[in-house]
Amino acid sequence: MLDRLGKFQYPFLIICIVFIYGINLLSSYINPYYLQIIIFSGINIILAVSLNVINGLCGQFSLGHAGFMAVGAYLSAFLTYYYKVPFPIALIAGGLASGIIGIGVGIPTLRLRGDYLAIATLGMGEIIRVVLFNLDIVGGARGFPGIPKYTDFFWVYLIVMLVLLSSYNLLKSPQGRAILSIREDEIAAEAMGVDTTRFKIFAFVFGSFWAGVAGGLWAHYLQFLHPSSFTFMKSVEILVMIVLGGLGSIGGSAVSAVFLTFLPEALRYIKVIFNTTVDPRMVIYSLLLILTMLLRPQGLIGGYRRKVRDQ
Amino acid sequence: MSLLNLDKISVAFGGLLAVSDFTFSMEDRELVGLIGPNGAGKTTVFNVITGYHIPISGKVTFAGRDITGRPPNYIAKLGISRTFQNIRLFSNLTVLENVMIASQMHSYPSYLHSLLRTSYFYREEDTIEKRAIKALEVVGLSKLKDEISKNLPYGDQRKLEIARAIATEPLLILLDEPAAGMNPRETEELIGIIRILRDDLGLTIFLIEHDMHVVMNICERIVVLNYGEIIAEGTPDEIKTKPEVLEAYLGSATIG
Repeated sequence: MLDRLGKFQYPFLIICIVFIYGINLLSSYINPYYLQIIIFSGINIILAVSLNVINGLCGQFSLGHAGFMAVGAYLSAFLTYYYKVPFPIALIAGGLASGIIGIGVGIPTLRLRGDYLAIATLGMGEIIRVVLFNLDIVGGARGFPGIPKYTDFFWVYLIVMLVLLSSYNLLKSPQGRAILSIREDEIAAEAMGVDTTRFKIFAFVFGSFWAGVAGGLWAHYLQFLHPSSFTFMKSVEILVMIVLGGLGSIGGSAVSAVFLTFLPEALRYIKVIFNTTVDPRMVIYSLLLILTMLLRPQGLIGGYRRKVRDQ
Repeated sequence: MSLLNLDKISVAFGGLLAVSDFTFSMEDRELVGLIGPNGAGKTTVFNVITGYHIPISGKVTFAGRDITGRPPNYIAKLGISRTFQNIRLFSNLTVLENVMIASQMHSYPSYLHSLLRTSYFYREEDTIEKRAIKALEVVGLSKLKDEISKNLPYGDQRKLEIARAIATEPLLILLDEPAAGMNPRETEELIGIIRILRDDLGLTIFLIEHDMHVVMNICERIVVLNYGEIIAEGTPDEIKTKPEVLEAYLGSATIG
């Protein structure tokens, strides 16, 4: 969709920003419970699309996304809480910090492939979490309360737009093709002059930057951070989104991020409808996941296929 | 001065000496064939030239530059490109995308241009695409440019590999068994393509091939490898009659 816009991207972006701003003005009329789900959907879109650049486009299996998110969340919260840094700057700082850690982690670990890389990035995520557990300045195991509430509909969906646009533009560029060629056949990519290490690290940093920004949004919405929110289960949650949406499909990740944020909430009504004491919500949720994968193994939208470039 | 120079190259895998003291040079615009029985070390020689294997001793020089042990992408940028014996296409991408990944080698717009879609970016994309289509036209695949490459018939996949290799605009191209799995008609087309590469594009070609019809027809010079050592070198006619070649490579006393 976005990629067909070609040279009309900028006008489109401006229209979207105005639209998002307009909805934001009306957001006080939206049921706060629904608004919260909508905001979490947005944050999950950012997380899923950014992980998809690493896992789906570049083919590097990373399980450390929660770690990158934690870095961005804690750093931006630290900046706004202690130094009253303006929110957008804190978000960017969180993203950059996360990206820098992405470089540091990427250089040694991206030599590994497949399962080995997954284990290494999983370990990295755990290290970040354990470090945060022991950092007293951000509350350590007590958690980090009192973060100012800056995140609203406008900021979340502004960044959703930027993530989608930058991912599409990356995908349909020489750099994007180089990244895809690494997923398809690393040895052949080398023979075509693709510096595979450089592009792998770029994809990794691109993904971790946006994960950091998403973390910042998350922190300033919940107003409370605790290291236990960033376990590897959080990474798996994002991974489920991109697999369900179709590895390599940016639109698919976005759709399935929204779907998987709404689904568990929608399933709450089952308990009400059937008037039971037990809550079968998560069982049904898991069954639905299994069913979707059986019926559509290529993902909701279907990955690995795109047009060549903008027309 | 010769374009490619291999000086006493030896490659070992564990205790096995795959190639030993391989010394060889190629002039500009030459078309040389490398033949030998399976496991003779032919592909290993290609892998050394393109940087996939690091030799335990010896030196590779290309256009006056020492490229021994340099990474493959660096060597590719200097002007050596190759195809693979077991086809290595970017199988989920289209034919055009496959070739564009090669034809963009010399023109990466910066990330900023790509992410912000500047007019410079669009100009570069056009150049990259035009170069890719030109390469596809050489091998006759430009009509199939929007096909997913894994759906192509086998012979076309081999041709696509050649298109990809020439799209990087190399000086030297290494073809690893381009005729493998092709039917006689496709093989004739391949011979035609290789002639175009040499005569019209002015490429230097180094070719591994088992199909003697191809090798004897187009190569100006042939190197015969057995157990990692050169056992004969000469024109096709000379090679055909050398007894050591017949013995080691063909087994029986007939060629063709």
